[in-house]
Amino acid sequence: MNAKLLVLAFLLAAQVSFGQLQKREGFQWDMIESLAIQDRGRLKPFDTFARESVLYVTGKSSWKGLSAVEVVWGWLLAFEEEYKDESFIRVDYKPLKEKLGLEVKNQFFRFDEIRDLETLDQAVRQASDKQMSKERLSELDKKALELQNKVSLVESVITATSLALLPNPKNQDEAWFTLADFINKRATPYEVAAHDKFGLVLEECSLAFRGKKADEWNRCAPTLKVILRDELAKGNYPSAASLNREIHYNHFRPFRWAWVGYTLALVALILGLVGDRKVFKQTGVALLFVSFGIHTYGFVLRCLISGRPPVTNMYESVVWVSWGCILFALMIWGAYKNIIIPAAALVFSIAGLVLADNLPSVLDPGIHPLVPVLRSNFWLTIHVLCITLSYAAFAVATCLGNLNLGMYIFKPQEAKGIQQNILFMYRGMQIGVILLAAGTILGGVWADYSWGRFWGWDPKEVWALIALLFYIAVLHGRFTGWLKGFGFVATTVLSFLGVVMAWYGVNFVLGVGLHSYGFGSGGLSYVLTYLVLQIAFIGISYYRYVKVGKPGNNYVAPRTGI
Amino acid sequence: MLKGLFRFFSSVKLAVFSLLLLSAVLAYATMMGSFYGMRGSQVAVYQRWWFGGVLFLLGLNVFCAAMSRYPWKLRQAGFVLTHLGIIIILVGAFVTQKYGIDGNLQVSEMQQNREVMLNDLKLTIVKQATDSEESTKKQEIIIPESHVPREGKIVEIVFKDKSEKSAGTLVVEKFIPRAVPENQMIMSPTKGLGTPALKIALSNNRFRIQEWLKADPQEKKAELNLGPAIVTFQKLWTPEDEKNFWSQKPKKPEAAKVADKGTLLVDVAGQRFALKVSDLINQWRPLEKSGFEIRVDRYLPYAVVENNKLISRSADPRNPATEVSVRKGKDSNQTERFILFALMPEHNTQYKRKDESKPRFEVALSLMPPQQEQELMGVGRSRGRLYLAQNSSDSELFYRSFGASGDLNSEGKIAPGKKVPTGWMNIELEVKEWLPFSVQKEEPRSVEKLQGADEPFLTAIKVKVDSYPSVWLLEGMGKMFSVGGKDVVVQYHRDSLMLPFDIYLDKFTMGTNPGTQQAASFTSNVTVKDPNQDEQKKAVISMNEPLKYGGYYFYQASYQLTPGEPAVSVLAVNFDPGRVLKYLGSLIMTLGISLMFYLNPHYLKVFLGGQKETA
Repeated sequence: MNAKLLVLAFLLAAQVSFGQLQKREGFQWDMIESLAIQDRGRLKPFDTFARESVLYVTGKSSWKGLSAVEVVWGWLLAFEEEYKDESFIRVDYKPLKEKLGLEVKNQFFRFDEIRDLETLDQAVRQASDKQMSKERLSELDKKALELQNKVSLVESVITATSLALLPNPKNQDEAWFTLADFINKRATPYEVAAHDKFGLVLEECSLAFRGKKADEWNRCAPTLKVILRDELAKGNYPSAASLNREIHYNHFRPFRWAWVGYTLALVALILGLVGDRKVFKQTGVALLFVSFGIHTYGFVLRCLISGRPPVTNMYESVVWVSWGCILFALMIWGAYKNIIIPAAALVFSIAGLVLADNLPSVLDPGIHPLVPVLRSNFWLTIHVLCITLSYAAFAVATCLGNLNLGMYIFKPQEAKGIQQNILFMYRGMQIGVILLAAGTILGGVWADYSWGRFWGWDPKEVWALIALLFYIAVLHGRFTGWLKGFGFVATTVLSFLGVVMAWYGVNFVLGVGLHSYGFGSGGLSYVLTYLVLQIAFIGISYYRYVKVGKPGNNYVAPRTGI
Repeated sequence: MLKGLFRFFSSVKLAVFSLLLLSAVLAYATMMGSFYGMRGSQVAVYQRWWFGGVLFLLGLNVFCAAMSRYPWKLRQAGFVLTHLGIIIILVGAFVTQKYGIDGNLQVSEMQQNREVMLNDLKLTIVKQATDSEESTKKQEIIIPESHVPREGKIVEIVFKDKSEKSAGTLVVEKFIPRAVPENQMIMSPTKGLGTPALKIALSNNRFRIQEWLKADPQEKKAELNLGPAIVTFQKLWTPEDEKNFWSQKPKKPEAAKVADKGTLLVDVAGQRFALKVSDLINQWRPLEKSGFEIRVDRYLPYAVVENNKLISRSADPRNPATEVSVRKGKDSNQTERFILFALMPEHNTQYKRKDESKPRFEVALSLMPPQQEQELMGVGRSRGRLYLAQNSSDSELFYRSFGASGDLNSEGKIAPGKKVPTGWMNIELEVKEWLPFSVQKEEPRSVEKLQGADEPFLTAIKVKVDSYPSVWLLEGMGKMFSVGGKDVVVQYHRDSLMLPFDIYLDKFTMGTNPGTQQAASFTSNVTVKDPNQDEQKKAVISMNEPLKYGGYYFYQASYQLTPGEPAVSVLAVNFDPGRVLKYLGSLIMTLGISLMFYLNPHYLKVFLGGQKETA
């Protein structure tokens, strides 16, 4: 009967009826979403697989109103009829489009169009030759490889070779079987009756899907999961709780809600501060706490799903640092009761979360298994959490510093406010310095434990040290009398560039060293924009500061026992 | 004067300066790392004397700053501890740099090794034993990784035996820190002396290949195996060679042997039989005592379905199939019929019976493909041949090209730059370069920036021994000279260290992520074989789980898995006498910073007393 399924596929393919891609009304997807799939070394709900696939190929989380799950099933069951003429493969990089001879003004292309490009084959061959000789890849090479991966991904869904939906009854963690294995009749360890039943239901589902028969689909699709779970898996199927938790995480999008809430909170706080209106201030604080709660909740969910503290790639660290930034702002606010502190910190967290939410090609939101050296290590966890939290503390200082730079421009007469902010900045820096020093040392402890040396001059550790040295230089600069008032503010803000380099630059620009598991590419234009704007802002602020007669130039941040 | 110097070194201004200087140097080092890899930054910055100087300046500054406030008051505890911690860390780092060992130990499964490869380089001059002496004598010159050997450095070749005077000299002429080995073929300076060499290109619009062919006089012929074709090149030294060249013909490939018809595997009544198909055609054969009989009704070498019927398209055994009958006793009503496919067992079918009322009997059949067929599918079928030759007077080149069938496609003269068709798959032959007598020139090339920043690079050194012409030595190479009438070998290689015990690798295992080939864990099961200990220590080394033995730490660093060969595990070996100091310093420094920031009396008052801090 599986042969029949194939024949049917051919028959339907033959009488091609090209139609517009339409959402299937009345189709239920919840049981399909919660199918477990083994993908890239992890068991995950089909929902996650579909979202990751559609996001990777199209750059969007859904396609023309169709959910990712519906799109991926469409690729599998009705590609010829519905997706052959659909331009859905995204190519953004202009030099690549030029090199491949694609229409530069188009953003999306048909699958056949890209797959059959000889120019792409050549570009990919060039790039993989470079990979073989361990040469550095150009941006063009990377983008060509990425496009090839997109095509391969879609192809692997069409041919079902990536759909490892059939559980391994021996053990959950051993290789599962793909639908392609099933259709091509490779040996599977299932009982004949269950095996055939699955084939029958799959065929029914396929017919219902192609025929757009909602009732039949809704009747047979849930059976698929029941057979997989109860009859094929023999008890080795991921629990409903874990699958549903991840689906909930996918649907709820806690980090998106967090930044929306933070933005509202910021608006309310600004209104409250400008007009000194208590209602707005209270609303802002309430919104801030609720959003922080959602942010925290999202983090807990992600930890539970991946089974580890989620600070192993750039996306996770951006989300975590944004969280830490609010945390420290709240702590300093608790000590000094000045609402300006969380308001300033919100700017950083919102920026971080918005970037994380909208730049999936740079900040990959997928949850992937860890490389061996990062596994099950207590020191690693503490070390990374410490270092990234120090970034968060420095971010608070930077936000307050920028606020002060703004004050120098717009309200230079408020010397008291400026001096207050300098004190808050100093508190943020203190937290940052101690966390960064401790985190870097803990990194040494971990490196000693894992690699056999305490300090190996790895670029990541070196840049963490440079950032630390910058801040320590600022702290010492206060005593020389070089850094008073404006000088302290400007150098503190500049020191954050060291953090940006340690955090982003080492992984995305330098690209060497033992921390290679966090390497990525892209986003350089955003970082450079920040850099230029930051320096320009300092420049303008300095110009105004000199012009209005250097207010508060005798202020020195608090001294410690020396 | 001294006081002024002390004041200078303890000043905060110097602190700011040295902090920024260190930052700049470190930033530069990471740039070098990005271009030349981690080793590149080590060599360029971290192991240089002046980098030590920068750290020393910082250390001195920290030390003087701490001392300048002596006698210390309690409120300065944080400050003093922080700076003391930094000094201890720096001292620890110095101890590690000076006395620590960092290297690699490679060991294969079921083997042992004690040689740890280090990063430093070494020139070893070995005097071979002569008849009158018992052992070889050695002289070693260590070249630390970070120290470029001074060009023009002269080493006297003496052996530590007092009786011997300097036997000769060795001069280091040049050193390349990043070298790429390059073998260039050049025309021999002496006419007629050298190896005939030819660089050919074979290309069509889909593929292109360029190779050197060297007709080594000892082996006579150079042979290049290209899969579907074989190319040879020789020099026709004698008229006989010439005659053979023009008359030789590749063997005609034998026609595909008529294969046997395959083997039937029969499972019946708990017994298993393997029967040749050719023995069963159209005749019943009893299956020993089982009571069953079997017969092959039809044999189809190339089975296809045409007009709804199964027929054989030709005698070529491309898709062997059989129709088989099995019966119990002589009862024709008790006959089961099957169609079996050798290459597509999933299409095997059982016919319906006329009389369905009687129970079926349990019999399982399958058809094994003929043996011959499998061999034919592999290599060793027919190939094209291209014979190339250079005449005895070194003035002309000839070629002869044969097709896969063994027929001559074309032959004649060929000259560099001229293209001739080979007759296979539109492939054209072109002679790119022809050196009738060539010699190899070995001169490594120096590269500024290595492709693949993390690729380890080789170094090369050019030495001149006595009056011999100078030679290049790449890492791992050696050359023999005759110095003062004695054979001396100069070797250039990585320095190594012998452990006082052996590490024996029992087993290496790699775990993968579920459903993928990605490595998830590496584990080496080792035994420490220490001659000073009676007991052998067994240990498991895995990622993040090192072995500590005799002051040395062994970490799982890397591995090599080659199919068909024992697994090789690479262990990082580390001996670090500065470890304790670094940990201690770190602890003290962190404690100090905490005290300084959060336990100073003023700050405590604000937090504990709820007093408002005024800015």
